[in-house]
Amino acid sequence: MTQLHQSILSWRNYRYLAWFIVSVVASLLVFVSQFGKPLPPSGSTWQGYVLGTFSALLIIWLTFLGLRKRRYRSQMGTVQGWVSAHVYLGLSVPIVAFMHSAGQIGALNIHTLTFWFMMVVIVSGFIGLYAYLHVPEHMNENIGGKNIAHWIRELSSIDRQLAETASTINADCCSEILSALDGTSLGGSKLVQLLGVDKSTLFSVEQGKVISNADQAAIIRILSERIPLARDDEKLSILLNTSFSLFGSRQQMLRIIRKDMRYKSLLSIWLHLHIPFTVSLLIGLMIHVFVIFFYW
Amino acid sequence: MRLSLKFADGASNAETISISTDGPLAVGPGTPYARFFPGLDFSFTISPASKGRYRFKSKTKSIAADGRSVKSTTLGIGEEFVVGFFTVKLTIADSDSDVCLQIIQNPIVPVAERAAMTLAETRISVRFWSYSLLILVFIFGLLYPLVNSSVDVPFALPFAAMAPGETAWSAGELHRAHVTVGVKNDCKACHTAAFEAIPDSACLDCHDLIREHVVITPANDAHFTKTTCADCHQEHIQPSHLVNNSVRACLSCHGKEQDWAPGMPVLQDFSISAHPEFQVSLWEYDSKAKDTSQWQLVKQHAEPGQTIFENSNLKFPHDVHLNSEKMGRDNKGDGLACVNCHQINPADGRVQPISMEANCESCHQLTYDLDQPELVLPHGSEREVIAEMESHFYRKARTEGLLDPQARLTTEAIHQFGDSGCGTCHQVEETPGLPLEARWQIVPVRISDNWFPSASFNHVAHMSVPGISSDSTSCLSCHRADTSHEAKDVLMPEKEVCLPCHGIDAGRNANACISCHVFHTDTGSPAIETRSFRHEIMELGKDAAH
Repeated sequence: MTQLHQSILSWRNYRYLAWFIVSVVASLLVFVSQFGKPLPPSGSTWQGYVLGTFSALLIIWLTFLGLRKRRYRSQMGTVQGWVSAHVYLGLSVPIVAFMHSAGQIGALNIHTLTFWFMMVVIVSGFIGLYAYLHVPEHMNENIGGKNIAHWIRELSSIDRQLAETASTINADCCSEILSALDGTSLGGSKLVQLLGVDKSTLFSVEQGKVISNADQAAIIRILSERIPLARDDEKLSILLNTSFSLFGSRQQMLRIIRKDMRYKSLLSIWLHLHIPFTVSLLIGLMIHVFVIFFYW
Repeated sequence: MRLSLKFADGASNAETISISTDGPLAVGPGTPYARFFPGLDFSFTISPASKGRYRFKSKTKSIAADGRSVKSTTLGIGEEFVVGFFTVKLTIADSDSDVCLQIIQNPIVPVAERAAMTLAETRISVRFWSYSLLILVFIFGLLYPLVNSSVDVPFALPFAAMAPGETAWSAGELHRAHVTVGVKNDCKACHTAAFEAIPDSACLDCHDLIREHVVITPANDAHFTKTTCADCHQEHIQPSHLVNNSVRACLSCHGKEQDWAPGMPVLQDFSISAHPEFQVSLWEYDSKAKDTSQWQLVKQHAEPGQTIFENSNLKFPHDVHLNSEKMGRDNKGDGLACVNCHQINPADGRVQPISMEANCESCHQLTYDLDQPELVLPHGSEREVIAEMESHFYRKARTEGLLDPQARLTTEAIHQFGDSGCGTCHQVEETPGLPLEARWQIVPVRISDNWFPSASFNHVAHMSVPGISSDSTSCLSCHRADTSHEAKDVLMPEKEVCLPCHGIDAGRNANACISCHVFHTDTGSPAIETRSFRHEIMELGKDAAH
């Protein structure tokens, strides 16, 4: 699996790394040819226009990855090859675009805004690349070769067992077990998923209020305190021990599912910047070109 | 109020109690009726509303009634609500109670089905962000600046005054010289027409006194007026600078001889070896010429082995004046410093012209009668000198009994026009036999006040350089006045003095051509005439095409 992902970078013996180097070196040569000319380097010299056109074409081409990867029957190269090209040529865009601007990105206007949109796209893209290269192996390690649906089914099964056990136990314990089951929080907002926040609660009969049950710690503690007290009541003791054991398993499964959710978030959160800012980059680029010719 | 609570979750756990209360009844955890709602983590109250209807109210979490999440709801017999994972139905009670609350424990919703488990399931999707940003950039990056621009658009937008204006399209800050009323926020001041380059007329609207590099003639016109102002003066660039100081720009013409510019200085680079020798401009006096054409400004430079002299007709030994042993100033014996005579104008850093009245007279007073040293001769007119002395000696004859005023006058005139009087500084030509007032002629003096008229130099700027000050030592580092014994010595520096610091390869202090040689000279043709003419021709051409 690791090898498969890393091959994005080494695709066809680093073919697109070579493309990247050629693009950057060629652009650099065009850029430095401005030095010593009557006018200082800028986007409005012929070199500036060449670099700008190249950057714009690169950006438009790079956005086609989104289309190509959805056309599974396309014969136009493999998706992996496209991703490899996308990564390397995407890396060349900020370099070429920076030379196009001749570093004149200090002011705040639609042109510099477009540049910074591009930088957000590039940086988020590299966050995505990092995630794709490193997260999958942690993900596989976490789910232990099983499908995540398997762990969710297991969790549901344990919850059913706990609910049944609770119905046969004394009122206080029943209330706390059901409250812990009902109060378990998994998933939610983007931030909750990404950070793996656990907002689980339960109603503590002893304290008479709702308390945090993050990582199922509170219910496990409550049950562990009740078990010694029930040593004279064999049936209750068995029920409490069963519940204690089930909550221990539940704790492990919730950890696995929550961690898997975090990994999956990491694999897609960058797209929440990459895609919207690609769209704004394209519209910004369009306005940039329009304005440049408007004020010819 | 009387009500029955009936827990109906499975036959074995079924339990019914009847409660009678006057006020609101609290049920749920922390109440005596907690067992009816095992696992519920909040309590709620029940109170009669109107006949046959009851109000259920929660202070913390919501209850679900009629498909809505509310904190309180009023229901009647036959209706139901959901609290936590319990459904509570209001049913007809037996004779002891007004209403029966039938409590049904529902299966707990599986944990994985309660909230979004993937980012795609969350409320705000990638697509929403994409469309939002697209619309925002389109509105604030294109529509508002367009509406706020000078372009006539057939639509209006609300709050346009508070939104980004046309300056949002500016490619960079304007140069501070252009941050002024009428230009700063008015793009149309320069960008007069959309999709067209800035015309020179836009610049000349304000810069109406600017001149071309040279006098424009039909032979050289194409090489100057076809180049627009904006070709050299770029705006909106960072770091902001308006003047193109590229040596290459100058060398594009001056790099080789041009048939359309005979006599144009030619150089290959701005370095010590490539820069032409400095040419001093000196006044040449032609005594045979009439009136003002007697003086001609001539550019000269020394060929190898040759020395150029200035023919100012003045006698002046710099070395004597700078010699502290020979020259006592204010009786202190410390000699003169350069700046005692050569005053620098702090405004432009140029040395002000020397004059008898300002610079010489304080020492060289033109006294002529030792008995009355307060009397001095007028400077500048031989006739007035004779007239002054004649008037004085004849008056002295009348008042003090001077025996032969004419003889005294003749003696003093010979003395004054001799080597110890005017002749100290001036060349005096004598024509014996003529009357006294016409006998001596001072050869006119004209000292150059601008040795390098094609270049500019700021003395003040150079005095701020560490190690250089306004004392004579600093002046002498460029002008070797201390070894000059005659006024004819030209004391202007050669290029080897300037270019080691300011040559193109001199690093931080490297200058460009225009640091010394301005492009828009005072002698060039007025641009408003040359460019307007061309502009009119272009307009005529357009009209003809239409």
